[in-house]
Amino acid sequence: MTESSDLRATLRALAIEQVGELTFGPDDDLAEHLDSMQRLALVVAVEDHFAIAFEPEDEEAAQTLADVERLVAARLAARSSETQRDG
Amino acid sequence: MADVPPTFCHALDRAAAQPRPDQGVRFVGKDVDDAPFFRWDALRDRASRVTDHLRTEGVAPGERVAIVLPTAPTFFDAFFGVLGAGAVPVPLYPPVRLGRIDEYVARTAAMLAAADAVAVLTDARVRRLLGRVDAAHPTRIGLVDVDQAREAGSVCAFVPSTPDDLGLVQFSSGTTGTPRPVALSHRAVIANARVVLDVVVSVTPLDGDPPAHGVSWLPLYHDMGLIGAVLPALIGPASLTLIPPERFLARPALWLEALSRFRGTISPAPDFAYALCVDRVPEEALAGLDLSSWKMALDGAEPVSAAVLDAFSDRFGPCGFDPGARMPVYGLSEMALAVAFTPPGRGPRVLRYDADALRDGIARPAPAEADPTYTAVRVSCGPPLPGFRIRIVGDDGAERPPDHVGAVEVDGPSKLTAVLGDPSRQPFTEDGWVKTGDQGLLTADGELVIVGRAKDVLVVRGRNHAPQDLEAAASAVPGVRTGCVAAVADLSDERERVLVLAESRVPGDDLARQVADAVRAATGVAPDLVVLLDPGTLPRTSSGKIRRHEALVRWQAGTLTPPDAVTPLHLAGALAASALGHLRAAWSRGRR
Repeated sequence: MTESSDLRATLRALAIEQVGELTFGPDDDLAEHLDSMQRLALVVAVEDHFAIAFEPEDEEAAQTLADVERLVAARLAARSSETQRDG
Repeated sequence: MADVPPTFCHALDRAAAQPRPDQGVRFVGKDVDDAPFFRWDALRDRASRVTDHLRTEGVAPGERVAIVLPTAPTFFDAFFGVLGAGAVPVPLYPPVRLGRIDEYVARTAAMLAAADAVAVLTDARVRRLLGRVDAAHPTRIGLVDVDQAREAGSVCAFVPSTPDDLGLVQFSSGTTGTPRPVALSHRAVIANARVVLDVVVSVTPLDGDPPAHGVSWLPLYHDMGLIGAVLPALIGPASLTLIPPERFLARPALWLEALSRFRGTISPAPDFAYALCVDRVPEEALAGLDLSSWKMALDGAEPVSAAVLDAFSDRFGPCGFDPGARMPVYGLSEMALAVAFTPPGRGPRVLRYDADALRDGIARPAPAEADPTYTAVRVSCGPPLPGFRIRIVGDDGAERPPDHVGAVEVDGPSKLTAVLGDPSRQPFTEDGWVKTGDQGLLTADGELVIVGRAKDVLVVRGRNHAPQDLEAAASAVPGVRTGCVAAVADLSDERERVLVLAESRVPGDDLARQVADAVRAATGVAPDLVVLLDPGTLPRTSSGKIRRHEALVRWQAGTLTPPDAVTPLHLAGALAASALGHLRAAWSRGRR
């Protein structure tokens, strides 16, 4: 629970860094609130921050901040299971 | 002036034949420590492998091949690989990340059709998003993975082209929302790159200390990125540092860090990039930043703001940035790119005009004590580059004297061969000059000042938007009178503002906000202001079409009123609801 709210707070902070202020909620369509360059900047900032790479198909499905949060969680989980296997 | 290679492939062969360890292209990744470097000879060999593969795939000289790739060595493989086969590269923008692919698919399919492309060169990642484009507009050869093409092909000699063969098709955003494929010969593009290079080496020679070195985060599918940055370095030959645009947008400090680390001497960018740096580069990033090598900070592709340039040099002067490096410039894709440059070292020339007189087409200096509200601030783009000519033409077709506003027409060695496809859309005048679609004036000493646009295109953050797209979205909002909307760019403040003027019977802040949201959702452009007007207020032509320019002029003059003038116009600021509005507001704060 704590982990997921940490993730949400980090995502919000990254989004605020890109757009100045969040005027939309986690379930609002990003494309209605951010222009294409802001979305591009956001996705790169998120990938860099968590050191992950989204798959194109995932991104196509991601419409909201909540979707992005799920994507990040899935990537982080995949990475940690890989690390455990390797370790 | 050194000898000029006749085609791109000659230029690449020549650059490859005299490899020096410091000449080539550096590709910045996540940060400046992650920046692999490719010499020109390595880039040539990689590209020729792609050439070899494309020829076995049946690509013939003169055919067009689209390129949809990020800023990476693969873009060079594809671009020169296509040219090496005697074919014509058509760089297109990759899909926007995070959703909304429908619009991208439709637009890209339309561009493939307009350019009559026979194949699309891409990479494995982007390819997965291009399936729908390929389905919407199948090309003869289809999607080609450039990495696979390079591995399949062998190093080979390039197919010779001649200077008059087409060397590039680049899309001009145009006015109607349908991008126009502008076809340019090798001769034209190289002439433009050569002129840019001559200016560069006049300031920082190829063997200077530091040597001429370009740094660019501009997309390679954009004329300023490709012709303004890559090709002058190729022709030099010199070296170049490239940053993927998305990395700059996510962290603008990366641009300045690359300039500092790699001793960049020239870097072009649109106005908003300078504003973004003022606003978004954190204080701690300034430590260790040395911008003293940066002698040419070109500012073009959208209206230039003197205030942004001042804020930039105030902020980064302590890092060694030279205020004289700021160079407002002018160009257009129909002329390959560059037409006019502010002389290097001088800095921006800021002109303050009487706003009323300027609206009437006369450039009269504003009195020193004039109210800023009645002053129109413009920045000169400098004189035409050597070999280029600029003239200002009135509605009657006659050339206008200095300090009189008219349509800007240009001529020079880099003009387009043609707009592909529709013969009715050629931008030429009867005597072969190119109509730019911009309104401007020449000063008494021959410098170009852009005043507005003859066409109604809106330029937002370097991208052109057709007003019709914004108007359609606003029109669809219940409460707005269908078809009674004008989307216009207000340039009277020196930063371009997008205004949506909409007639409605139910004025109110809520409706204005809904209009702003609808426009942003449909076009990605957040209006700076939505103005709700009473029915019948917008001026129309005799055939009933909205006269956008007239509406804007009247709005600026405060005389946009309904026929009966019963109610004054109802203003509703939609700024607060808009994310871009906040960004803009922050820039405005930053430039004070």
